[in-house]
Amino acid sequence: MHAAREDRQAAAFDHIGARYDEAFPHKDGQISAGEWLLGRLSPGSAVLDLGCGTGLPTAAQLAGAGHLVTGLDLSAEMVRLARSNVPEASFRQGDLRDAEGEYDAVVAFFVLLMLPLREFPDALARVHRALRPGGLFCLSMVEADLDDVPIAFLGQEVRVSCLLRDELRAVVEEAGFAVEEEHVLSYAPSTTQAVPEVQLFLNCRRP
Amino acid sequence: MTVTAEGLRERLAYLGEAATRIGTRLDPGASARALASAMVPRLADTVTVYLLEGLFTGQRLDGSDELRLVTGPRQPEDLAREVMRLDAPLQDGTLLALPMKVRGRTLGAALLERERRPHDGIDVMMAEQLAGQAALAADNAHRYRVEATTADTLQRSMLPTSLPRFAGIELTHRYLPASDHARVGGDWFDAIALPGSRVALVVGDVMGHGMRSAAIMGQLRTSVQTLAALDLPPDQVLRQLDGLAQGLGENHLATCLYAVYDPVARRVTFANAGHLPPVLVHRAGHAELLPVPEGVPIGVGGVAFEPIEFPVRDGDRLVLCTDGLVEVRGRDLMDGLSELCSVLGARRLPLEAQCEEVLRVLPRGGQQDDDVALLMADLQGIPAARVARWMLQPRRTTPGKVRRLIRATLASWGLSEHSELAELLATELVTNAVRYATRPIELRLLHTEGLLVEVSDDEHALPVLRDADADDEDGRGMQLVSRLACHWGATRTSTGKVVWFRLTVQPDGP
Repeated sequence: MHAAREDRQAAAFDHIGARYDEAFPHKDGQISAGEWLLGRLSPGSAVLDLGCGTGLPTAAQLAGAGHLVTGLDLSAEMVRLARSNVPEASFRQGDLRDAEGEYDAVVAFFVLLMLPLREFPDALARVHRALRPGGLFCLSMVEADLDDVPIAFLGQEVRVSCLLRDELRAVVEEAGFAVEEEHVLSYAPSTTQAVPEVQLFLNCRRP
Repeated sequence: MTVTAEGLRERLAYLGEAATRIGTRLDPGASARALASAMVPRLADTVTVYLLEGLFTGQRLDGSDELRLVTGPRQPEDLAREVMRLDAPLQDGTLLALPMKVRGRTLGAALLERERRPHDGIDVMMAEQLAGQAALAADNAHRYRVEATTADTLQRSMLPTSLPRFAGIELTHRYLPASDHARVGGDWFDAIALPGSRVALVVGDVMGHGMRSAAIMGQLRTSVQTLAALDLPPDQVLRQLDGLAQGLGENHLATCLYAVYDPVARRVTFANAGHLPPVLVHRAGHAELLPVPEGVPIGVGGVAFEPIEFPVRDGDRLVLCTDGLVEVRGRDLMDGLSELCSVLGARRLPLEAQCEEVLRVLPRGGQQDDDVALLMADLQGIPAARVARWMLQPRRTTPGKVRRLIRATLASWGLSEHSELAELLATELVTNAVRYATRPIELRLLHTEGLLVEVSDDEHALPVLRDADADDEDGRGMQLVSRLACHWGATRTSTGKVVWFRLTVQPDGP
């Protein structure tokens, strides 16, 4: 059951591939979050990029600054694109549940929303465990009230779950993170196949 | 007095030639002067013609009996007035006076003076003939002029004198009537507000000229406004317009280009009914004809219109025009269009200045053969920071979530003071939407000159505004929205409907 759902989600992103970056060209919020990390990480930190997509802009931004970036994505096509976009980082297929190790930072941009709401606490707990104490966690999400709802996304059907800003904050704090910054951005994609959305960025620390 | 066959032929030839000279002028003064020169010297030494002043001004003739001396030595005006009251020519010594009658109305008088010999019966008959010709020509010219003036007035009265202002787009327009008034009529343009801060831009051209075309234009323009208000997709607007045009009667053809600009999504959707393609001037300066499918003119019927969508960037400029701007006799229309593109692409001027430049540079051989309608739009977009949109699964808790979203967003826009009313009215919309929706509903906030709140859902039935009885639990919500919002409305969409309201807002004080 579970595996079939993931396969479908992964297949959707295999189809979307590089079009993702064309549709969402100005990832200002994501780049700002990356800068927040860069300002706090020691040189050569180990960073886990969950749902790395094409590796742009985040894996490239962090690896370019000399950090050791590991990227995970459910879609084989996204992993292939990421390897070619950011050869200095390492990438493999996998998702939030494969977040293991001891990292200085974890980033999860627009990836938690691929899970049903009931799996949010467990996924956040895994991220918590994969961080060393004092480690940093950057999270982003589309603001909405959806629980595992099929949505047309760049011509593919993807099931997504989203929360409102106060609800997301509550679930993140419940998982043991301290939220240091919260940003709310309105975002207009540059495609007629996607609609404007409100994006939430939380910059957190494992105490 | 005998008339030989030879003499008769000669007289008929004279009359025929004179009548042609008099009758082929569409100008009362020219007809009168042609009359005088045909009569001198054969029928008179001098000819004085008075005509009603109204013939020259294109006014109706019922009002004033003021006369104008058109040609000849000044015979007394009183005499002319007296002659005009007669039914038949008056002969008095050397004078032959003719009332100029046509279609039961007297338009003036011709006063012929001949010293040599008095006018005989044949002279009088010939003079009467020619004076009748001149009266007919003057009357025709007048009718033509009245119609042209009316067409021009009608045309102008049916075009917007100024366009409304919209968020995210700046507009300018020109309408120039043809130099020859008789060729006026039929071109139109419009800009219409659509739900969601979108704007419909329209340019059209009814084939033919004159009052009839101007009147049909008026009907088509009104029809387009009505269809646009239903927020039909562009191809459907043209399809419905085509159906309506066929109802107006036979042979009413018109071209029309219908465009919808969405300043949030930053795209323009077109449908075309045989009109000239639009020009998009890119922010960087390069101007291109957009490849909008040509389609068939309105009134042809039976052919589907094909919508086409183009992404645009803030700072792009869209130019819509009628063929009067680019068409010069004996030259290919495409040459005119590429010249328009090169003028627009050559240098970037402010919108008004560019509009003037286009009209100054595009050659129309001095004479403007046809009407020109020109509509230019700077596409400015609405900044993402002024727009917020959320998808919400329909649940019992949704109205509360919506209130939280509105409160937080209006606070960030400096509009907290309007939060309470916006939350109240949005609650009504969302409560209705949640009741029937099966898919996630959508909440959208847009802060431009006012605050727009939209709630979309997948139920197609539109809300009905009705009076609630004292015991009714339902039906009060839309009453409330209607009373308290500045505007509200509901529109069907391809996936359901959107219900919206707009509040007039002032940003919070410091």
